[in-house]
Amino acid sequence: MKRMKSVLRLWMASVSLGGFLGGWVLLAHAPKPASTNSGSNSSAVAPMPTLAPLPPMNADIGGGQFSQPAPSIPSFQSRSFLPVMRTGGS
Amino acid sequence: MHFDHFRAMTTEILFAAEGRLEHVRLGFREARAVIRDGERRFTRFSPDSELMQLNRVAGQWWPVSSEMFDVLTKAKSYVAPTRGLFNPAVLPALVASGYDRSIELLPKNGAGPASASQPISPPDFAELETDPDGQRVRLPRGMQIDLGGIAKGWLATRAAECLATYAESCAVSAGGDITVVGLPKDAQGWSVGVEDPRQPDQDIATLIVRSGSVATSSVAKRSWRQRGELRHHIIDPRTGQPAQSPWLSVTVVAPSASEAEAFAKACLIGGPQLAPQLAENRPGMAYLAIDRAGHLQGSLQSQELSHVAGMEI
Repeated sequence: MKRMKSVLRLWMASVSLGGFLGGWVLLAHAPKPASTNSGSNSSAVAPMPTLAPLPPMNADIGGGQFSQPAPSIPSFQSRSFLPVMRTGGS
Repeated sequence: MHFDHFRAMTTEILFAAEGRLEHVRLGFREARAVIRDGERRFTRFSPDSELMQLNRVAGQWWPVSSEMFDVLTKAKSYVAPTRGLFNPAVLPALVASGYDRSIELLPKNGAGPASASQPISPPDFAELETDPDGQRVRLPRGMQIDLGGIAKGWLATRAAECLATYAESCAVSAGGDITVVGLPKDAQGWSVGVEDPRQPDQDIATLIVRSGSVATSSVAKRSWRQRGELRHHIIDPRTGQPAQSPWLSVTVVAPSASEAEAFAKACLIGGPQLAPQLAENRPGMAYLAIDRAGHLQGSLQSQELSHVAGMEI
């Protein structure tokens, strides 16, 4: 029984060590992540892409700013665009 | 295209601008300040506003801000060309008809009782005296004014001028009083939907506005019931009562939104008999009226419309 325990401990230690070394080798040979900084100043943080804020879902919740492509109104014949502004009295 | 929107003056304010985002954002901030400042200055619902201070000293010369002086001077200049149909001195008549508090607080069915048994005929606003050197004005004794509509238009134009210094092109809408500056990229004009007064969620026409301003007066907006009778905020200075017009709304295109606002109101009150004469001699002005059946009439040219009620022009 005692001999069995020793064999089991040895087997678990060997598997753990093997797994660790295998992972080390795998990561060491993995492709490097692309550099985010092509300039000479390695401490500079690369600019993050700017995402336009989402349009508001409800105009009554306090307002806000948003951006979107310019509305397409090149032709008087076009009916496929939404009016930019509305007038109807207030 | 960048947008900014918020509520002020109990209505929706919308800015649209093209240009570099960081510049446009600064413009939005300054244009918001213009609107907020004007809201405090011109409201009749705050006893501390400059307008209500002025109303309290009717009969005396009173120094006013440059903004107030400009609005009052412009308002006075529109009285004669609208044959007195534009008259900001309708405040007592407006209150007597039940519009005695902010529209958001006014019960739709059951405004307060009339505070006067007889209709109140407003005094002639042209009797307002102005002193440009001292930047002072004098309201005739007993005159009480409401600058709601014209101030909104004036602020739309002022905010657009402010925003334009930060943007390549821009448009400002203060509750549908709109001023545009410059043209949107690759477009022949700004697209402005004209609300159908019978179905406010739908547009009955679309205008193409290349420069200047647009404003609409409507009897379908800001309405309430008083002793069972439907009332609205467009007071006919000839009667001191809410106007009885065959038209539901009139939209006017003009060089400035204050002018468009004043003439839209006058054309709505004047109806088909007077509106053509009022608008025809004003440079850069055209109008579009909508009656109860949804029929359109006016002096807008076809190149100023992109569609009418779904029909190609």
